[in-house]
Amino acid sequence: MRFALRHGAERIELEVEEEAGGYRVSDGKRTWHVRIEERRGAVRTVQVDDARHRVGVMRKGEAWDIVLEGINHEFIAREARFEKLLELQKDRAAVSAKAEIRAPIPGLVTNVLKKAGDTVAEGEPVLILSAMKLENEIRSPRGGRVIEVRAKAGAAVEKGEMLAIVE
Amino acid sequence: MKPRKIRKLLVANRGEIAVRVMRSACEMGIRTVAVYSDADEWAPHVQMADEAYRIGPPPAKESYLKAALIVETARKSGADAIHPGYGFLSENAGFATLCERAGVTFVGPSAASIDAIGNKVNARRLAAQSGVPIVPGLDRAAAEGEDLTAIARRIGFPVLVKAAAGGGGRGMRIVREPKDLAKNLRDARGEAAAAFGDGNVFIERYVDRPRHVEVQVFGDRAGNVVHLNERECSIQRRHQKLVEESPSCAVDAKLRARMGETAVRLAKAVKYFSAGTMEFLLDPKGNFYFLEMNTRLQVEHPVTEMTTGTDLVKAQIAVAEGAPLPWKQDALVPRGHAIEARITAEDPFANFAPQAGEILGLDAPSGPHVRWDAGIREGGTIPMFYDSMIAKLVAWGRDRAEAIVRLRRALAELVVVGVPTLVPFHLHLLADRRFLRGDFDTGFVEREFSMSVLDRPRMAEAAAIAAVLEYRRRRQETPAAGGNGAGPTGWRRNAIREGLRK
Repeated sequence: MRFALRHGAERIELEVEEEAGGYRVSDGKRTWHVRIEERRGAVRTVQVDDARHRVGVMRKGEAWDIVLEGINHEFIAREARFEKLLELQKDRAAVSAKAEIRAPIPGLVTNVLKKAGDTVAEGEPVLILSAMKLENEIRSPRGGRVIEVRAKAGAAVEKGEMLAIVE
Repeated sequence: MKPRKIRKLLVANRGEIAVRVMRSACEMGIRTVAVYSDADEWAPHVQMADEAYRIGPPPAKESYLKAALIVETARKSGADAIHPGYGFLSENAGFATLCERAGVTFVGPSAASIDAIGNKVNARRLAAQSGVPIVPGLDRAAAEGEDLTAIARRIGFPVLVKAAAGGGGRGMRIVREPKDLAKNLRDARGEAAAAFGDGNVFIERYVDRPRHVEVQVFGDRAGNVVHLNERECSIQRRHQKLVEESPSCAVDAKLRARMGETAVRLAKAVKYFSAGTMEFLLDPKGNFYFLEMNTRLQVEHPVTEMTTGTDLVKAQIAVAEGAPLPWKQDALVPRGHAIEARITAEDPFANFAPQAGEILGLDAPSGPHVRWDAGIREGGTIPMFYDSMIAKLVAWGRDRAEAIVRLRRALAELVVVGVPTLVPFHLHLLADRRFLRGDFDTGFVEREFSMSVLDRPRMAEAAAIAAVLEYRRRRQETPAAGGNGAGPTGWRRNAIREGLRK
């Protein structure tokens, strides 16, 4: 099965096949032989070729979070053939030119600075999200007009929750 | 109030420091009482205590900062003493007074000492009077809306705007241009008011490229004060310490004696007892300036404990009970080297944004001369209401090089699943040539140490692992496509083993 993995702007395409005792993974140039310990829990022993690692593995919404040597790698893995379709849809969405402002972290909305109808400049703060003793200015990714503000002062929001829409 | 034996101790804190304090109390045969907010009902500090009491909803203002309620809880539970940990109420003279009035021993200095030196404006004045060198600045809190431009010009730009109460970088700004002063004063005031309930700020000259070196002092009620050497805390970001060491590679025995003597002199001037820390800026020429005193235990106290063979919490408790200092100055020469890495739930690849979340997996490091002080456990959550520090990892070595290698080894053993942590930052730092040479100052991390240069050396392997996991997940969802003949039961069993539901 062929997968497209996305990590931020990076994209890796990998072919996965079962083989004796594990899996064979290839990106066309390199090949890895991967074995994953069968065990409950989020920390597993993983063998990649001859190297053994203790790896954190977690399903986070749509993504896989792999903690390898202390570094979190978050991948959205899709079957390569479906991924192309999804990209097309995304391009179409981009044309409509609405920007959603979502909570980058869970937190408490402490101040809403803009209301529907206001104009914003790119990078202008739209609201203040407090989390872990820090006040974070949530800025507009683009200039335009605020068409909707969903965030309410005093409300707790989850990561990824929609806060406002800018057009 | 006459000091007396402590039989039951309430720890007015949470997280790793509450756990750490309870460990010492436990070893002394003292029963422990935890207090908790609704966010912490099953937190490690609650689990460790002999008794636990709910004190309110998650926001600190409605729970861990409720001084009167906490003292009342101590009284009701029969606790004869309160240890405040660090942060929250630890440097609040009013809280210490409340304890004294209720007949509950405050494990820390007297309210009078906190009042005299815990406030940065007072501390500077006291230091100047005691002949302790200070950075030029305004010797009073700035009035609200006051135009300080002329004063700031006299002090000399860049100036530092600081909160009079508290620490940890909140309410702190560096201002390089006169035109930015008013806005920064206003912002710092708001931040300080929100964090400490005290919006007072003051200004002083900002010393460029200094090291942050602090001296641990410790006094008893009879007026004896010793110092337990210095800690090097220059590895910071946004004035938040990330790595601490003892001793400092910029301090030799002679300078250590001088800084120590200065710190002891100032502590004696306010009749200080219990643990306290004098923070200094050390410039490249070896001049040091008193910054402030923290009238409490510090996060980084373990590096001192490991190089002096002491237990500062035990000593705090003993001194609170009226015992004399357990050590003589000449027995406190540093032995070997210790280094601490703060493990916070922050993503070093996303501008160190803190992240709340669930700890889905945790493999904690161990082994010779490694200390893991944690306030988390597997399956627990990191609430969004408090600090992002979840643990401290400390290593001791015969010398700095061995301590660093050991810390690297321990960091490699640590696996935290669920939230990003500072581990990659630490691994990167501990391999940095300038850091290894000891060539750094408080601006090092922000100025020269960009996490964007950090490549992800094992990205391809991580992707290969993710691809295999995705493959297995899909095969479990669509058994018809399966080729290993395991059947539905097998698929379900695998799904359970996978343990990756959300």
